[in-house]
Amino acid sequence: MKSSVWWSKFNSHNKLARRLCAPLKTALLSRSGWILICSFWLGRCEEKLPVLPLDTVPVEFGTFTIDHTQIDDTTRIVSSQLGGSSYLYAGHDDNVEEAWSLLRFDNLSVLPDPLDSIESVRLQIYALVPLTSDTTLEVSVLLMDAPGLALWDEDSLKLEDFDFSAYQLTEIARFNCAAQDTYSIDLPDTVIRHWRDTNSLNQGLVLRQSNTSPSLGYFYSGETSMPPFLEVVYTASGATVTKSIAVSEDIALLKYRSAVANMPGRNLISGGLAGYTFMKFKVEDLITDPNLFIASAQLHLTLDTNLTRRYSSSQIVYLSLLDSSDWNNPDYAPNTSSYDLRQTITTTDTSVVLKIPITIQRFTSGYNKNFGVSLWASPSNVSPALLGFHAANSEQVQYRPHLEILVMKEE
Amino acid sequence: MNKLFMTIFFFFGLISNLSAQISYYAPYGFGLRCHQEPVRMIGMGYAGGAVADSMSLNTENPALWQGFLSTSMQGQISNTSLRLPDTGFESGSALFTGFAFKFPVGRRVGVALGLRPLARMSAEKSFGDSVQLSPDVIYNTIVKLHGGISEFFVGSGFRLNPQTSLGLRFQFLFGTYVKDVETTLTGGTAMSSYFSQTTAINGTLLTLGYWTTLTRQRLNLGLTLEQRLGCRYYTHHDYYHGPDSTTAYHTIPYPIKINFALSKSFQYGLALNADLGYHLVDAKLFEKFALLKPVAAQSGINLGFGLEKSPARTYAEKFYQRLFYRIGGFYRTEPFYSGNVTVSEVGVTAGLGIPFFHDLNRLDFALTYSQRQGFLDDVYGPEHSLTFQVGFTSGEPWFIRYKKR
Repeated sequence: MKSSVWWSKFNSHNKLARRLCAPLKTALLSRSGWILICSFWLGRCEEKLPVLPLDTVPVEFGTFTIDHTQIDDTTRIVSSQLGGSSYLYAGHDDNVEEAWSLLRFDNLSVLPDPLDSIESVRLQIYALVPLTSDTTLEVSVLLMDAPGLALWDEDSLKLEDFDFSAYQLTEIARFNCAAQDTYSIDLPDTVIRHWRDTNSLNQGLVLRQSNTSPSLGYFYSGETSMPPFLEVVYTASGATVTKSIAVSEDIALLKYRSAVANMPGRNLISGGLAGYTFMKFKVEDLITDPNLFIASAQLHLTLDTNLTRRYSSSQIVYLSLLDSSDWNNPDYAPNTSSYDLRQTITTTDTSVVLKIPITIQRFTSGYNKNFGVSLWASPSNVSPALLGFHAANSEQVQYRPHLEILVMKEE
Repeated sequence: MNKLFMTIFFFFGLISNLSAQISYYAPYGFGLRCHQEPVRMIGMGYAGGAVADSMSLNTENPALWQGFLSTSMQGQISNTSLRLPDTGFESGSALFTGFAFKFPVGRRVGVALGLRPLARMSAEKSFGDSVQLSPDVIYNTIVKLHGGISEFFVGSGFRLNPQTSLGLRFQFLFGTYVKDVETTLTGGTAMSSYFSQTTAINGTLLTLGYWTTLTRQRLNLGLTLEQRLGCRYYTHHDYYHGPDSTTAYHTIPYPIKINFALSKSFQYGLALNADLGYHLVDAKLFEKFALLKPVAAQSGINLGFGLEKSPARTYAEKFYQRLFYRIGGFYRTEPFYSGNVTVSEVGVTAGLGIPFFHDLNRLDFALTYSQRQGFLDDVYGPEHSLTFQVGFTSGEPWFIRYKKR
């Protein structure tokens, strides 16, 4: 068919014009057509805002320095409660005078009564790499008896309240702890009968260093997934049975050297020592406008490397607000679920900058009364590590703490 | 139902898109004025203060709020494209520019009320720099300014005799302007802050309108006087930290407006319309009411003229014969200035009116091209605006008494 003929047939009676105009007519006469048109119209209204004719930024910055004369600080050493720690310790070094660990196995009811015969009793405990590893740690396992004394428990026991002389300690085993491993220590089979069949209370066992060389070792406690346990093999009705008895209560007792805790001009932070550094910055006298925005606040602290013991691991320091009564509370314990800052201090740090703008803002804007702050180490993974800082009255003036504050005001 | 749906969608739906009028002059004064005049007037160079309109409300002169042939709702929107050839800046925005409702009360009285924006501003600027510290604190500050004034008006017109009428309009002003300063800090500690300053304004204006027709000369004259009864504002400061504060009320000497209008009819449905308006502005106005920074104020003028070709009164067979055709031009100045340089706008307009459904409804279109010049010319050059307005009037013969024969 010739194209001209085809065109004439296709466009007969002005069909083409009608076909082309039909969509437009539909759009203009129908509701949905109007919606489409309006949507298209609005869609093309891409608004780009003109630039404000402002020459200067409408914010102003200023700096303040809180020096050592405007900082009150002290170290609060409270009675440590280390029952919740993930670690148990034994040994001593130049930092820790002596460390012991107490373990109690109460769940003896899993064993049949009477027992036909006990084949073996083993203490299974997982030791980590010794903190002080220059010599082998030799550990004694002591059976602890205390006629007339109540049972100790890990939640309330404090070092100050614990008196070894009130207990009868009998060495029942000894093992060398030189490397990271699970140690299986044979105990006399009489220990089970002693705990279960005599009238004295089951006070458990003590892990204590038996050699004199400086060495400090540590083990996973019952708070971890690798707790110490007793493995008891016995014969019942002619069959050999093996039972595991998990540790019920366990706690490390760390006794620091007295020279460490009482060094003048120094502040301490230690989980094992339960040492907290309290600091109060007199910022309200300097920053009186509550609407000033604290853009930066850097607390500069210098470590005393002679005092500090980090045991080759990083330490995590927390900062939280003090309450009105905390400064004079001998039993102060930080609220571990609420803190303003969490900062890691590595093994090579000799100075620390803590960024605490939020904390300072609380004080200057009046959200919190300024009762100071507490610097503390995590009590959940208690370490004998100790961080020593130069205090505001340090004899080395250049190492005293100071706080640099950058404020911003919007106009 | 369709008509109602279309009206609601077309106008109320667009209220959600309250974009600002865009101009680099918008942050000054009360902001840039909106195209709140009726679209019919805009098509005639913003002139029409003496043009009686029985179908759609002439919102400018309350003396014309009588003799309505229908009860009607009307609304309008505008779409503006801004272009700055010197900087390459191009942008567009849509704005709801008014809604009105009118109804007749007898043959000599009419009542009207409505809502419309008067001025809008919107602009922002970003600053980035650092403060020397260890480590340096890098800040990025964004300043945003937006807001405007709108009015609710209600009034009535009264026809004294077939040649003369008077009108009264109360305007209740309301609006807020918000200046936000948002700062983000990085380097050392990542933090952010903001400061927000909200200025709320309210006031009452009274407009007196007069309209007369000189039948022999085929000339209509209109006069309006808009006088403030009271206008005030307060400012609320909202800080990210620290206590917020609110100032006491401060009075504003809101401008007084006088407008003189004429409309001269000729043969073939042609009419020449012209308006001359004068805004009496207190010289200290924008020093007292300064949102961004104080600027000087001066009285301003509006000058507009336009031609309108009305459809023939007799039956017209062709569609184009049933339409209104309008053209015009205008010149006006803004009430703020700086460095003795006035901000002025000059432009040309064209319009079209399409009556339908027994002349009870009308669709008005207007196209405006203008050039704005002022004290920012050195930085941005002149602003070229192309604005397209649509107005829709939906009328019903309610409240009309028909004589029984």
